[in-house]
Amino acid sequence: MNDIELLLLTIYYHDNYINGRKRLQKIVCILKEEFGINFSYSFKSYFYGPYSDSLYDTLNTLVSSNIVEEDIEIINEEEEVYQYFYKLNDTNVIESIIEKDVETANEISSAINQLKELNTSDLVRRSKKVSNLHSTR
Amino acid sequence: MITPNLIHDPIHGTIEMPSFMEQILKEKSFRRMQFIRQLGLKAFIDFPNAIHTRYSHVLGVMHLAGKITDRLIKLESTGGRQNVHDVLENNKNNLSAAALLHDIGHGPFSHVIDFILKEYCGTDHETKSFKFIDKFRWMDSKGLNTKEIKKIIKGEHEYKFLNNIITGPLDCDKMDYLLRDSYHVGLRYSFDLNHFINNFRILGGNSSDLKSFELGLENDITSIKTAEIFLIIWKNMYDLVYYIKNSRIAEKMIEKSIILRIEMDNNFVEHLKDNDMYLELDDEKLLKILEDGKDKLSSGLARNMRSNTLYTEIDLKNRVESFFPNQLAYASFVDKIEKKEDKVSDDLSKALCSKLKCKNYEIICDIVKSRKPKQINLNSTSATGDPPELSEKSEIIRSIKEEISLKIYSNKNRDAEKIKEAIKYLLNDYNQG
Repeated sequence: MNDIELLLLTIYYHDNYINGRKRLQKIVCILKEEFGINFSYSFKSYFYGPYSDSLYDTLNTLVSSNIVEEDIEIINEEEEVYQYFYKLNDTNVIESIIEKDVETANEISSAINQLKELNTSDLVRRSKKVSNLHSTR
Repeated sequence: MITPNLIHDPIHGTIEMPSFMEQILKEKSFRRMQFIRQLGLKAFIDFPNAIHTRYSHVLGVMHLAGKITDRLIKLESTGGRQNVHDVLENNKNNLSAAALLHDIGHGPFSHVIDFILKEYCGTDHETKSFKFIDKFRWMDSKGLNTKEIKKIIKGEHEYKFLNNIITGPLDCDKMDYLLRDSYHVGLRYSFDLNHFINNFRILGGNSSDLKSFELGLENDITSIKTAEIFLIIWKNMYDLVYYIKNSRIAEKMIEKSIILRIEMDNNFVEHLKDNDMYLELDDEKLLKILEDGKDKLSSGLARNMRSNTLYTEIDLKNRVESFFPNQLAYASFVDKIEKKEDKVSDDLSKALCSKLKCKNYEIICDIVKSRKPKQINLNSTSATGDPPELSEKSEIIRSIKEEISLKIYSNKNRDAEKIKEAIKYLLNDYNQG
């Protein structure tokens, strides 16, 4: 599977809704470094967690080709806090992706189940831990 | 009285060359940038009055790097983060040097040569820059650290916020070339650079790991609005100047002239590989070498470019995605070619000429990708725990979308339908490969 397909499965198994670009970055980093999912991205470690320019580009490609919807939700109107969210525009595309590699799809599904309830601090801790371990490779 | 270390500049007023860098003015590899136009072939085709050089640009970048660093040092000395202050203070001179030297390895018609260097010489302009910098043995005696300077230029310094000053979404390189290029092409943008820089902040959240800190912006309305103006200028410059049609065609013609010359003449590539020969190359010399070549197609392309006898664009009247069976195939293609657009364009050109049985490069393909601004974070911690992004607060910035287009240039009129059919086959063949 290529990065596009892996990313679509990630969003899909996260209840087809991921709130926050940085949350998505952390989840993909953990999927790659802890669960061995074959994303090609390399991450740099920032104070808010890992970040990959290439992952940012892939996400933009999916949004500009209308496969993924990107929009803003209001977290707190008074304090003007907004956040991106992402979901697939058409989940029909997922079936053909899963058929290509059922094993990887199941691995992503199982990994996401462990990650989706984690809050930001826990995700930051976990993603920093795995990215530090692997930066010495 | 003329003071040698003060340089008058139409963009920044007066630029002061710091004493520790005065020696650089005598270095051949540095002075060579006076004979390389910042806008490359655009300055020969669409903007003949934009004759400013890479030399004036790097002086401007150095000036801005100093301004930004001074501003951040002042903020941190009053803001209480002594450790951040110390890192900035200790690296201030290295940052100036990195800014001044970041383009020293660029060839003539820079972005054309970049692709050629990667594809045919196994190197790039950054590696060339580092070779030239390594020869400046006097830098150590001036308290400069060439190893740190090279790390900053490459974006690999352990303190990320240092890298961000020279290469990042808010870097001084971008600021100078946007203002300098727009001035010289006659676009009168009104932009308060001082105001913009005053809103820069080093962001670290609650972390104690200085190496994970980055350069961002203050989280208030004036900062956001100033950044919006900056990014609109950035977007406009790409649409109106950097991707302008005739110059783009000229660039592709010269790129193909060079490729054909390399293929026909074993000695030619040494002009690019050998660093001493590379130093002799500037815009005019490279054009002359290409025009004087024995291969008619190669020299013809160069002469036609000089006489403004350019290829014409064949309008396919189709969006690129229409060549693919579905959106997923299209998105996979776009992702696959990321950062390899020149290489894929070249492969497609050769394959298309072969399929349509014409001579190599009588038809040229050009994949053009418009850019979306990179992530810029704001000085705050949101309810989610992450710093908010500039684009989350700005509908204008969110509206800047990424687009891919495929242009076809040819030396004569051709059947657009035949080309479309061939392109569809070749794109899908590539995607499955």
